[in-house]
Amino acid sequence: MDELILELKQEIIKVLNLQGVKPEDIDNDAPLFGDGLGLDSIDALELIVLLEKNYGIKLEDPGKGREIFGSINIFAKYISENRKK
Amino acid sequence: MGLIINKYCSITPHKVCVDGLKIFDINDQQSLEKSLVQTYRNLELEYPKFFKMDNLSKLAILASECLLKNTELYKIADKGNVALVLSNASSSLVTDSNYHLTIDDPKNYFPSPSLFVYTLPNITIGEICIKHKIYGENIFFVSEHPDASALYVYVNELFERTNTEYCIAGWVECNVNTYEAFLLLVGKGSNGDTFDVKTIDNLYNTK
Repeated sequence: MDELILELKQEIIKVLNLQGVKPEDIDNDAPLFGDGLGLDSIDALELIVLLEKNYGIKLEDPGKGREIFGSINIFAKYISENRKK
Repeated sequence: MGLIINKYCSITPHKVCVDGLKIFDINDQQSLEKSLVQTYRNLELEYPKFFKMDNLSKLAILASECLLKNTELYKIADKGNVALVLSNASSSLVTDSNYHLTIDDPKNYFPSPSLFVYTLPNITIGEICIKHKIYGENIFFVSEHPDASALYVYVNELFERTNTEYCIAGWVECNVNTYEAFLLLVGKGSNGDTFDVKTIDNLYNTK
């Protein structure tokens, strides 16, 4: 799981252009949206694309993103349980 | 009372100028992306959203910062009477092409939302408005070359027919080969260069 968490942080930084943010700056339990990394709705859509592109997970209900993107830990757990690649 | 040019600025691959004076050089041997980030750092901007923008919007944000910094407009919270009139030749073509790459291959079809939102040139106006809390009239023209006559006519109309007190007007072009931004801050008054076709052309050609 630690490997997936690191990979996920690196992907998020790259895909969302989080300039100056390092993987170790992202708290595994902190919310990704709102006070956490300050991500916006476009970032949420990019994360949905990332899920499908990298892990073969297609979110049928975009509203579910709110739950899945709760934190890095929640995000990684969801991927490990649902990934198709 | 006529219209005057309160301030003007330009960003080209070699330098950044304000009111005709170079404020710093840009290393023209580096990529556009690096030049834009270098300019961002030199201007000491603290605006993380900058890094999420496409190059056209980054250029527009940097030029608007050069133009508005140290002006009284920078401090006014409600800018409902500030208009924006921008133009360029390539529209958002570079970003359009980049977005197309994400949807071109049916076997690798992952449309990028963050690219899609920049597939219109007037998004650059939106970014400037968000950054500086500007709520006035705005329009983005696409024309082959900077057109001082059209700019002069349109900006004058805005001042005559709307509540416009200031107008940020000019050219923000970014294509695969090069880039340039040239912005004017136009206002009412008598202390400054007269806002007319000849002056606009002169300032643009000597930038």
